[in-house]
Amino acid sequence: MTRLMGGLAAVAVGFLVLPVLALLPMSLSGTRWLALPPRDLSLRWYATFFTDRDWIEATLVSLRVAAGATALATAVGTLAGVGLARGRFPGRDLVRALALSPLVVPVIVLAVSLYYVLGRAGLVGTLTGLVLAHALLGVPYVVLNVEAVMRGFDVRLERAARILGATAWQAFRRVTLPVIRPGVLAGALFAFVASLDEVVVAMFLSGTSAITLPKLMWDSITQDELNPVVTAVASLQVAVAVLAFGGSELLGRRAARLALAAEGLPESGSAVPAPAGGGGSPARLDPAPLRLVRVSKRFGAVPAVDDVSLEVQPGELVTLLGPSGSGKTTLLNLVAGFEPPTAGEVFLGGRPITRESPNRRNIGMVFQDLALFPHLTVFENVAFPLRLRRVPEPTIRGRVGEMLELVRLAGFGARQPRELSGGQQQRVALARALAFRPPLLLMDEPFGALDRALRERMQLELRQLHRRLGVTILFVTHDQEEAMALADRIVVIDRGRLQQIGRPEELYEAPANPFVAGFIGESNLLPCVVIASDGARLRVRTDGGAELDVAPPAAGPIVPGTPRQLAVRPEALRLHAGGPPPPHALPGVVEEVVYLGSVLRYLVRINPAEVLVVRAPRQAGVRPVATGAPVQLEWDPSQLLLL
Amino acid sequence: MDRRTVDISRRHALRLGLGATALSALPSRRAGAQALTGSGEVVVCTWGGSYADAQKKAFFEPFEKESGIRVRVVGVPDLAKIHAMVSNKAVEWDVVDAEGQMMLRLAAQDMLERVDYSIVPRADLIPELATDWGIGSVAYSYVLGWSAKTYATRQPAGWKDFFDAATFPGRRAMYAQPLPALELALLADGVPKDRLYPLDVDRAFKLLERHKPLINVWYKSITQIPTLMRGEEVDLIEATSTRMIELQRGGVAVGWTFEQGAWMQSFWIVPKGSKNRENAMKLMAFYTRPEPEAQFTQAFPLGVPSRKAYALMPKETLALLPTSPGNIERQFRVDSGWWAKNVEEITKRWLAFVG
Amino acid sequence: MSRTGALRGLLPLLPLLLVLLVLLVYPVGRLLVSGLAGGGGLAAFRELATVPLYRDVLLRTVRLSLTVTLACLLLGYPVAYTLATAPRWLGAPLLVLVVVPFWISLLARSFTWLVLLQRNGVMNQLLQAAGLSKEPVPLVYNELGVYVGMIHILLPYMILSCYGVMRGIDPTLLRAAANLGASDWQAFRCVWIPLSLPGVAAGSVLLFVLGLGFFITPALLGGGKVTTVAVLIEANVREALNWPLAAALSCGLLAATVLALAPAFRLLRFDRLVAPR
Repeated sequence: MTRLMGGLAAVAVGFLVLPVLALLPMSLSGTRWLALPPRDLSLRWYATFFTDRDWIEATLVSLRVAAGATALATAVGTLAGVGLARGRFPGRDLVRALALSPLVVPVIVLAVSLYYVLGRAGLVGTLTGLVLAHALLGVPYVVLNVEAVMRGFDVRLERAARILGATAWQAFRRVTLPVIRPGVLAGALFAFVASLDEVVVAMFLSGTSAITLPKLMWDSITQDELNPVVTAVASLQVAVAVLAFGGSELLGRRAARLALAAEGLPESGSAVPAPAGGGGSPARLDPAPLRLVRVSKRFGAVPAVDDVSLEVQPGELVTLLGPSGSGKTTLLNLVAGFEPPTAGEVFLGGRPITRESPNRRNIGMVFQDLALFPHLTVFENVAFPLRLRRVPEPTIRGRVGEMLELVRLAGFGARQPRELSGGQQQRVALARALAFRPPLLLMDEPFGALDRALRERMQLELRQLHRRLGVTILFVTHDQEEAMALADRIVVIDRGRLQQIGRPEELYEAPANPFVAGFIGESNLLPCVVIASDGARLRVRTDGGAELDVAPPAAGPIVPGTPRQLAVRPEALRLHAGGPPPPHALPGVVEEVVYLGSVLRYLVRINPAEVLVVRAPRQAGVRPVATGAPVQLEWDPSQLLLL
Repeated sequence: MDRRTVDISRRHALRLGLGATALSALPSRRAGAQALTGSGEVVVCTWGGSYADAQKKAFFEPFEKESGIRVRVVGVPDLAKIHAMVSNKAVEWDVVDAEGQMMLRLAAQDMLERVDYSIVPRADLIPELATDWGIGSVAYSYVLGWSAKTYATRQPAGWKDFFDAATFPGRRAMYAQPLPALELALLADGVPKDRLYPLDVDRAFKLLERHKPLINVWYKSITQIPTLMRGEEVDLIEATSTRMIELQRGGVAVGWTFEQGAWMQSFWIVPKGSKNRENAMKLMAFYTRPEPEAQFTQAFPLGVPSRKAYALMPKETLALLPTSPGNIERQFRVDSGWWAKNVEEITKRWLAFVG
Repeated sequence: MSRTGALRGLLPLLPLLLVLLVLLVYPVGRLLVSGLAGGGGLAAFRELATVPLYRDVLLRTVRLSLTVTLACLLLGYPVAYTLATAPRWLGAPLLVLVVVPFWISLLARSFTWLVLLQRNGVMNQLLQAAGLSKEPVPLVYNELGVYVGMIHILLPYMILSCYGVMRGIDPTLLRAAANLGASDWQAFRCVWIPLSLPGVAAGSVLLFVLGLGFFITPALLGGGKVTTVAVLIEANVREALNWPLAAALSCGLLAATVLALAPAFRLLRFDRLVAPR
């Protein structure tokens, strides 16, 4: 199979290459007519090409036209490529089809049409006419290349630039453009070569004083008995094409590398270097309160954020906790200004910022994948917001140094982001976000990509930083342990709606609803019905038939018969294996025991429908209860929650 | 019309013959030749290839040296283009080597500048080649050519043989233009030379349609003739005398004949609104000098407008000119007037035929 | 999506839209309209529909394009396969060999074939030396020459299109097929070919559309006998100054292009042609 394919492939490739191989020898034939094999070897046709006035002029015209056309095509095509890659507007597919149409519309139709229209405008036979026509033909190449490189481009880089203070144009110029430059250059190269080679349009639009090289070649072929100079020109074109192709390959590889680097490679567990700390402690920031009033965000019919109101006190560290898709990142984006809310208002330090663009909000933000600018050094990354605010150079140097010391990366200023480990990149992102002393810091699951040990270390460092600087922090995470570890208060959010706000212990001990109970810590949740009430106690029956006494909830009297959820923390149940059953106990059988180090986790079946999770501290010397053993589960009515 | 054509030819030939003997004693340099000077450039539109190369060497480069006016050579004369240029007032060509019928048509539409005979000396020009609208450039011929290798024993003698596949098997090429294809078809069909005009167009197309499968190549440009013959692509070809001569001189085994050849006169014309009108006139003036003309005919044996030039040519060259006695009688002259009137319609029909 | 957001998204595209409008939409539109205006209404179009010549030319153009597409598929598929499955030391130089001819001037490639295919040219000499023919075979100045020229120019497009898709085929799939009992041929037929079809389809559509518009190659290598629609358009503009007819022909060519292209436009991943990585 492979051999058959290989054989056919060899034939096809041989066929492709044959004329290329024939060109060079033909160009060396000294005869006035094309001869293969060549006779009277000589370089006279190359000499003619370099000395004959007409050929030189035609080459210059071609180069000039190509340069002009490429410049125009690159400018127009880059903007269009970026716009198409990102834009979400109606008719995008049509615009894209139009942008690429010069590639497939028959060239003869384009040529004749342009000849018709440009002729009336007096542009036939001028450089301008050729430049315009070739620009049209070159635009698709640029658009395609820019689109391709934009696909690998992290749009969050632009958002990072915006929240650091850049306007849309500044972000484009300082961040997007440098990063996608290899793609732009590749497209420009394609457009350039295409213009140099173009024949059909040139046939119609060339004139006596503006005749391109391909047109002259065409004239030579059709009117000049196949002048051998054409073979010399073609051989030179081969050389140029090979160089161009090689160049574009190299640029492409560089673009791929840069795109990869911007993704913030995860930490591999290496030790975090600790250059000598110390230095002066930076001034405390001036924190501001954040207030959201009835904020909603709909995407079409779906509400991503639904009527959320919350207040973050100045200097507080509040975490937004929720599962994926709960709307927490959307909420953060609303605060940052990347999306306008469908309803509601946002106030920062008492000032409404709902309609302000991100670069004017003066909020610091650390993104989920860091969004460090790959084309800038660590120093320049941190200095970026300061430069936008036109801070004088010496101040910049001082502040950047201060920030890098703060995050324990002093001396790393000259490094490139891609040279740093994941944890180090984290610190740079933090330093950059704080460099301009924002009153509020937003953090979008920044530690998600780190391994456990590093994550815990970063959490510790963040708390230390928070205490030192006193900045207000809004921290988004889906990890409830992280939320509990960091937060002064936790905001639990699910499907766009606020579930509960409170201190970690409040949420843990008094969850407001089954979702919070299940999300924070581990909980046994049993659907049940209230069957009796006597003021001090309620009796509930679970769906599985178990009957338990529960302390009435603070919320008020419960009508018997209403379906509720019973929430029991695993550690609120005590396992008794053998001995007289204590009051408030359920009989059960151990189904599974999991040894978790300091804690034993039992799965105990109390009836055919329900299994309870029980956690018991491991006691040295005491053997865990075996699977299959009958046990009594003791509970404390005040520890059970009716939701 | 036919008789007049013949008469013109004979008068032409007589004048040449007379001129040749009577003027052979004259000194080679023209007495009182004006030195031409100027500035700027002039754009010449001519027929490309080795023809244009020969013109460059004989006329354009010496003219540049003497006058300081830069000569740009472009190709190929195209009536539609000239028409468009003059209409749009964007004339790019200053002087054009145009076919007779092109000149007549353009003149009829007032699209040409008159020849400025205060700059262009007309005294020595063959009278009918010094017209109001242009001076003669070259007289050239379409002839029957063949591969000497293929037809070693028996050569074709005329256009009837060209279309006779039974007697002369082989591959054939024709010029993809109705002029002079229609005339050649009529000759092949038996119409005598002096009764060609007005052309029986339907009869010509009928014959061409019948024999169309015989034609293996319809070449678009005269310059393809050498490539075709060198590549041994075809055995019989409608060619020009000069290209066949060039091939023979280059050692390629070809044969050709003036028999039943079609000769025509082309003219240098200046499109109306030309940006370098005066320079164009100066170039035309240079063209009328006998020395460069004689030099040109060495490379391209063609009829030239200056009588004195013929005295400067060697006998061998004279023998090759289409308009020399001995050659001119065997051919017929293409009637530019007829073509000027009818070419537009015929082109449409021709495109439909050849496509 | 907010309206201002949508409008802002359109902003970077404004220069492009301007360029397209002025240099593409307007000129082509004007040309097509002139076809209607100049020749007195639909006269040119009627001529197009009635005169058999134009039908023949169109059919010839379509036939040419279809045949070339098929030939490129047969020749190009193995090359793409080899590129996709070969080890790097073979694949990289092979890719260069495929792409470099792509970049050489169309003109140079066409007339090189002219020289190669002449009656006393290299190809005929080889054929006679190999004993495949006693006499020189007419290889050029006819449809055969045009086929050779067109295939040579369009083949790289087909190769790159197929290669682009094949690169994404997981080679483990073939191993899985073998493990499950498939022979080489069966694995190829049942796994590889179906998965490579998007590239084949896209390449074929692209080639067909490009082939319809070919002008230079038929003009140079056809000996004046291979008139395609593009050649006819050019002749009508330059020699006959028959704008209405040229416009009508252009209209026809554009219509054929759009018809062939429209259903498949999403399919066409042009980026594979410019960024074969």
